[in-house]
Amino acid sequence: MSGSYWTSTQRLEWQCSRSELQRRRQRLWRWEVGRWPQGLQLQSAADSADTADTIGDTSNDANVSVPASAPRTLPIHHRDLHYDKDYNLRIYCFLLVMKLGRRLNIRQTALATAHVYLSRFMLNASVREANLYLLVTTCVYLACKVEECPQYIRALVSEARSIWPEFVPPDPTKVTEFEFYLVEELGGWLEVHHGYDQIDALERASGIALSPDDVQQCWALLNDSYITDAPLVYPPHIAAAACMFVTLQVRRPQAQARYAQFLASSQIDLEEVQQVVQDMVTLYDHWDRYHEQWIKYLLRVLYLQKV
Amino acid sequence: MKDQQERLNSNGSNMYRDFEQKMQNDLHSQNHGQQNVVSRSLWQNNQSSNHIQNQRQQLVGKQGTGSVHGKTPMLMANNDVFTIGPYRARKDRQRVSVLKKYEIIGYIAAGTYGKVYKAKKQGPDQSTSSNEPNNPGGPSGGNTSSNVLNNPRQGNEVDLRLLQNGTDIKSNKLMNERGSGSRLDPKNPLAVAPGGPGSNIKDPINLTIENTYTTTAQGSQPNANGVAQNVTTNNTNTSLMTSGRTTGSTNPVNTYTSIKQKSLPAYYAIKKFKTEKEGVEQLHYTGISQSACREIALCRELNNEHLTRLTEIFLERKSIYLVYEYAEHDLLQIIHYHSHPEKRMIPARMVRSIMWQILDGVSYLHQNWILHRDLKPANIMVSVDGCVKIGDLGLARKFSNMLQTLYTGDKVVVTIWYRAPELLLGARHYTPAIDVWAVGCIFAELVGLQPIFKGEETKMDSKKSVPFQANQMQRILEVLGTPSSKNWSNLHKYPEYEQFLKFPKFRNNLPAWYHSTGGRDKNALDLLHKLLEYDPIKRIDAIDSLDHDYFNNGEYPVCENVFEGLNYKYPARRIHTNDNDIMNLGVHRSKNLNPQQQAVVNNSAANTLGGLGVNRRILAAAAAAAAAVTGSNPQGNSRNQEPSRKKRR
Repeated sequence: MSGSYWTSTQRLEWQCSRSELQRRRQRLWRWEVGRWPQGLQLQSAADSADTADTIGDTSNDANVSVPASAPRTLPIHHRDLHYDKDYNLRIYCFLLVMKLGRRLNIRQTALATAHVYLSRFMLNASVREANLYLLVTTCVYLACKVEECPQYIRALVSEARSIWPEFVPPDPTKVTEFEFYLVEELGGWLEVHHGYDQIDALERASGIALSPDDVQQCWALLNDSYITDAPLVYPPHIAAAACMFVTLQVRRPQAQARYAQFLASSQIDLEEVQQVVQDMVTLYDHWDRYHEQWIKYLLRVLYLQKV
Repeated sequence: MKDQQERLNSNGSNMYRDFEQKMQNDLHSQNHGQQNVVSRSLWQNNQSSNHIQNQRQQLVGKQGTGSVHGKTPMLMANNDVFTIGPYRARKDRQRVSVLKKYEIIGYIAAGTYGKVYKAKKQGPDQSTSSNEPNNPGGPSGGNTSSNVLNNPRQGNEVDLRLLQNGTDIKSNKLMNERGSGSRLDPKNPLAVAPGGPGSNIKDPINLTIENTYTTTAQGSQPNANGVAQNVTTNNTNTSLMTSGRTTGSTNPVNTYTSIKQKSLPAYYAIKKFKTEKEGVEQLHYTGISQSACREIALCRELNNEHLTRLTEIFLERKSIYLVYEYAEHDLLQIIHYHSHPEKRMIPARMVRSIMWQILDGVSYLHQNWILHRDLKPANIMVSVDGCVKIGDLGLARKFSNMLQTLYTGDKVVVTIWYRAPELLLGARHYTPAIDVWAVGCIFAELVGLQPIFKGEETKMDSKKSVPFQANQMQRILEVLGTPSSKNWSNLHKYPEYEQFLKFPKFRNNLPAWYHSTGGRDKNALDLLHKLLEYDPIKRIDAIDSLDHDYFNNGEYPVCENVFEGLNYKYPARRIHTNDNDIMNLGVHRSKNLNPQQQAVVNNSAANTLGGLGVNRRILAAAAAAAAAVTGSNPQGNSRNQEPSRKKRR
């Protein structure tokens, strides 16, 4: 039902527990390992002289430091390029969606929907199977339709192509083809509920008036929460409550006590809120070590490497 | 040019082979060759698309090879850049065809949107017959998954059980089911164990691969040939889907099977959205139209007994198939039955039950923030056991959290005869009241057996601005009288107010109209008044109308079965069997055999992709309606469209 989250397909069909999520990802991981046992052949130093430095830099993943001269292999067991394990990749995906959306002035709700599609898709498919840039374009295209702010596909594709010229083919039917497979993978369950409205509701219910800046901060946090598993695991109001909690903690510590009291007296599941807060903290921890060049390089090798 | 093409093609396939070899051992790459046989006939995959490219050189690289491509000097991707090749291959292997699950009986409606087919769920016998020729000796007999396939009866029983348990599962929340890792998990095709609940929790993807290996190892050359022959002779791809390689085939079934039904209805209505060219399998993905997208997204989400239930979605061969529960009747048909050859009133108790159920469905939609925007008798179905089902949500949209105004999305909504006065006056922001007006019109039509406001549609002019529908407005004024600012406070604010002032003044004739139809129930008249209230703010809303005296103080109570007490039966739908080729398989086969004769299809994708603005469906329907009024005889058997009225009235 689109009137209420509790009877929505988002909850009934696409929300899973953490352990369930873990199991499905483990399954995908095992499949990926079996499917691409040779890992990813990184190019020789001569080919990638410009990227050599960046590869050396990747101290975030301790094992990646390979001698810069020899042709290298990224073993499949590495967390890189596995959506569930690689925060670098997740953040990158999120920024791709945001970048495309900003260029076309697409509303955040549609982008959030697009990102949910992307996370759901990544639950069942590997980055190695499908062009990520095309996936982002397709998710945005579909989400805009579902959220009733459709984009002309040609405009969208040409915009995507101007941002990622090496990866997005000029033919718009590539996107429409992908759209078919995306809708199939999503099972046709396309309506998504978001926590943006819930912030208002929480504000009203708790009686804590947020300043416009606070609200902005809250929204920004909520946007970032789409990188985590929150949209797949928790109802939207949980993420909203967690974001409001963090906002107050950072900006208005004096109101925190009142908010805590409100949360305690409400029916909101505190454990879940706490989990989301923890996820956010972990996310920002990873974001400090975010290495865009590295992930860009990997994807370039993955999608464009000569065979 | 041609040389270049050929070089490209050969290059592409070589690379693909290299790519595959890198990943798999010899066995598997042999198998890959076999799969290409499959895909050539079925999915126009790699090789076959190259084949087509040879025929049509102007469409360079329209069909990607799905293989990894080298860097181009300019670092601009061409159409051969890596897209979704491996993913597509995996999904295509797993997919169960709509033809595999349903037997097409014939089509029951056709229109600008496409066609609606009546279908029956495939019985186990059919599965067996189509299964056997393709499973010689059961190459992977030891495998649990192939047991299901070799033994379709078992598979079907599982399905049945799923459907019967459906209600319990839903109420228990699927979450619990998921935790136990049973195969009832509808959203996790990867997690589904093919052999039945709990019998096999092995990774189906792995199974697919193992299975593939086995098939190749044992099947070797003769088997591959057998498959290939089957493709060309059988000309259905159902047979292919059952072969041992499609281990995961039960999965998508579960992915889409709605487990909400209480009982198992025997018949289904499969809506196939129109493709760019009739009778030919599409060459390109033309994108999911906004209206198909709405229908999928909304119907998937909604669950009410007075809405047609979407049970499954198939996306295959570049077409969309929506499987709905079947409804034998619709209001258009029932009204027609009562007005031909001579007028016979629809029994009052039946009208009352129908109205209540319509309003119940509409109130459900409105409570879920959905505007239907195309309510009319043709879109209100009645099942064989007398349950009203509102259908066709192709124009419906959510009106909560609107990112774009209603008007920006669709300039014209609602079929002309059922269009509310505020829409005729050019309202940009309208409310659920427009649906209530349409229900009022339907109510009047059930009572009077013909549309109460049967106006002529003004055609769109060349400038594509929306014209003022003067004739339709006049019809409404003639019956309901001319509104004033007294009973419609915001009347003067509408964009078309100037136009409105040009009309002469009329008195309210609704009571006279009602009595002329032979109606005597003053509660019915009162409800009609309230539904056809000019001011959308004062118009009764769907929820309140359910408590109206008309429903509470009648001679008979409102019934769940609208046919209760009837001693006659309405005729069943007419079924056209001249075109059962839902997939255009015949044409497809001839294409394989005779590629030369295949007409070159223009790349008309530009026209069909992502169109915005005026909704074509509504325009076409409206144009047809106008044609029907003016007396020209429109073509086609469009059961669902207004022109059919012309033939009957």
